[in-house]
Amino acid sequence: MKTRIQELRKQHKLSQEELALAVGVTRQTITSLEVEKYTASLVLAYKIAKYFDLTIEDVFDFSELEEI
Amino acid sequence: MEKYKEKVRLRVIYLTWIMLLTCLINIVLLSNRNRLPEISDFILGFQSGVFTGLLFVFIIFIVKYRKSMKSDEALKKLYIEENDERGQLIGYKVSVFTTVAMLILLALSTVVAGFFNELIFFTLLGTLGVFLIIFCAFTVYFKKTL
Repeated sequence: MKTRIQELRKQHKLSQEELALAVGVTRQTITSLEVEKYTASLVLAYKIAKYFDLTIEDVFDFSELEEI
Repeated sequence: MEKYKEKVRLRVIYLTWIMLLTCLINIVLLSNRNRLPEISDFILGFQSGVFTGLLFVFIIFIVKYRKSMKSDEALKKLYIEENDERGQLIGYKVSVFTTVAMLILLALSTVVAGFFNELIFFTLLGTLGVFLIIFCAFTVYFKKTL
């Protein structure tokens, strides 16, 4: 899933490690999210969005989500 | 974090007790070696290896936990390492793929062993049976609890 995590992280001058520590995951998880290898859980998506003071939809791109 | 610290402290206590118990079992078994059936040097070496390996694992974990309990930052890092959702997903996927691979290999080995040796065939069949019972039991348990 596409995200704005890398962009937001750079705007806030944060390293992956700092963001990871703030939202309670490992640095590798942040890397995987940024390179779209891993999709965050609802809880993690909420924590990341809250950290940047945004909504989940502002950080995560749901437009390519498959319709059932 | 206090709750987690208590959890880690309990883990250290349990691990210490398990380690002592493992040592005790090993001492009892070694001191009664002459009363037990004769075994080959290879099996003896394997048993000693497993025992030594277990001791090392226990010691590594006890040291790791004790170190983490000394500072809040280290404790948070340990918490993250254990609760990272991607790590949990990896663990889950590894378990699923390993289970399926083991089940297929065990079933194939049982069939092949049946052509050559009856004892091996029944041993593998028994293992397969136990594997399937545990698999079904956990499936029922998680369907009811999740």
